[in-house]
Amino acid sequence: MQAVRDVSFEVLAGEILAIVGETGSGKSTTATAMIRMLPRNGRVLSGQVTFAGQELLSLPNREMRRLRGEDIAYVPQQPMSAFNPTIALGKQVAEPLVIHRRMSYREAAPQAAKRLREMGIHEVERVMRSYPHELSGGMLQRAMIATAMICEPRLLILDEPTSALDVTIQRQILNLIKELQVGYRLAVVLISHDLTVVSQVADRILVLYGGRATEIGATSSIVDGARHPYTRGLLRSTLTRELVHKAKLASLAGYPPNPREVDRDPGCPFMPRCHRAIAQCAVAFPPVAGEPDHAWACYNPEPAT
Amino acid sequence: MSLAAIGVSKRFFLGQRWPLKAEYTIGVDGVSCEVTPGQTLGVVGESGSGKSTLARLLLGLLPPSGGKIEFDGQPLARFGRSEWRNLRRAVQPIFQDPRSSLNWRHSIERIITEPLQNFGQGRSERGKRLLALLEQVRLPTHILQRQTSDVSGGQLQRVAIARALALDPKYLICDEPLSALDVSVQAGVLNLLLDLQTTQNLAMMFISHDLEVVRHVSDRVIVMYRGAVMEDASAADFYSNPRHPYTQVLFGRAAPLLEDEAADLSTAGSQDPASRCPFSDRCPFRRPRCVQERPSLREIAPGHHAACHFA
Repeated sequence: MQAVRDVSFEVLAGEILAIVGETGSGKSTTATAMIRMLPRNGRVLSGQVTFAGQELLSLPNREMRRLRGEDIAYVPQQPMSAFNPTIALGKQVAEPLVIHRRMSYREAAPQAAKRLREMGIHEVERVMRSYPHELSGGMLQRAMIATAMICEPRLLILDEPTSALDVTIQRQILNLIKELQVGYRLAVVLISHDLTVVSQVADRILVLYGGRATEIGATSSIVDGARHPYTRGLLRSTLTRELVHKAKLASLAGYPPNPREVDRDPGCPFMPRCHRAIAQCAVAFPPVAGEPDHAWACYNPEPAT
Repeated sequence: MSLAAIGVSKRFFLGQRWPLKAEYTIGVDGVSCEVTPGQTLGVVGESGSGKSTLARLLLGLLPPSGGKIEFDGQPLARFGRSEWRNLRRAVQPIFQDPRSSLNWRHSIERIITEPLQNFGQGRSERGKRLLALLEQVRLPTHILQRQTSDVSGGQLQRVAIARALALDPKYLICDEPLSALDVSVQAGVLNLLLDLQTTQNLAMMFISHDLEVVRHVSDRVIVMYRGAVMEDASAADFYSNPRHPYTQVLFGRAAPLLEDEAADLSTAGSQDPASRCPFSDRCPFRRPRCVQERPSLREIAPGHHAACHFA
């Protein structure tokens, strides 16, 4: 099956691009394909990935491994399971320096401590001696980001960094990501299923549906002027303050497509649920319309607001 | 008519340490609340705050360690066989993840009709009821023969709702019913639950970590932290005028202390959890009294309760 088809975007230094989509829409596949960390049964069939002028897909493995962790850092989903439970946290945070900069742990430890402090952790010594199960999810997520930041990468990819966390902690982590992006002029790719959460920090948003890019644009033009019926529907069905108590919400009919079947369909994957669908939608996936700073893939887009 | 918790506590046994001292963790700590017909009680709190334990206590799935659960004024502890059967029929759960709460070896049809069979309905009655239920939760009939693995998450949650409704319950205990669903189908499921409440005058308990969802569905809201109720108010008061520091933290109006920032005061005062405020180690507004004396839940305005010395 093809999990992701024909998705294009770019991220600039000092910018947060959010990739938003539901389960099976291809968010994580897109991100892991970019850094060549697809699971063993996955491969990139076509397309290219360039990082600072370098084509990544044809790079020798050695080179790619050097780039990953040094210039490109990836924070996987669920910090609790991403750390090794049998190694003290400090060692794991310092590990990129040991590998990429050939430092000893003794040399790397002060830098790890410095990074952890930057992430808002106060009792650094205790945290570094702790094992993952002794720390809270919010703590681990901070430590995970510290690990990613330790070699001062230029691109940071975060896969659902807040989904496993409680509301109060979520807000802190998002603020932290924003601070890092501004402070280090980082390029950030933020993957999430929650449009309202990412719209608080992202500069631009890419919306995926059924493995296809449906809309991309500046956060304000997506939130206030979405043109793709799917994006519009998502926004309309979220709860807002203006809503009357217990009133009915606008909801999208139907269910997201099964990722195993969606690639057999030549048309737009959203068509079965779309209230604006026309005959063309079943025939071929719509070409990209709009301008470079706000584009959508739809034959019959919602009127501009 | 009501389902109520009266000063209910639940401790879980952790193990014994030498010298023969039993250790417990507190799941729910002296909670009182009531679910009444046509009304929704919203329960918010972060993970580990005891929301789900409270739900299981109200469902009668766990015996309380202290306090009591009352169903129509009768304590569950004195229930006999027929009363239990009555309760099981009247109070139904909807859990977070239908994929793990429903039996994956059963067909959708069997999942929905099993309660009917348990309560002695015949084959033709069951068939009629099944069709009515499908229509109520807006599911197509062709999914009946499928297994749970062939049905999407949103549809499966509707199956769980249909099963819960099968016996015309009076109470629905919904434990994070939307969290496992895709964003684009959440609104539909939420509409369905609200619809059912108005048409059947259901009493609902709605547990969620999402404040906006709870605001939308609830008439009354309780906030839990480490097993105890921090604030208890009508939904209108709760959202317009949250009084407890923890609630203000939840709303993002105040920043909580990080677990390690709080170390200085955490070691001060009483070390007995029964004589300090449970939120004192993260509270941005705490004062010395907070670690010497545990605040009780007191009425700070008509119908608005908070467990804080200074709210």
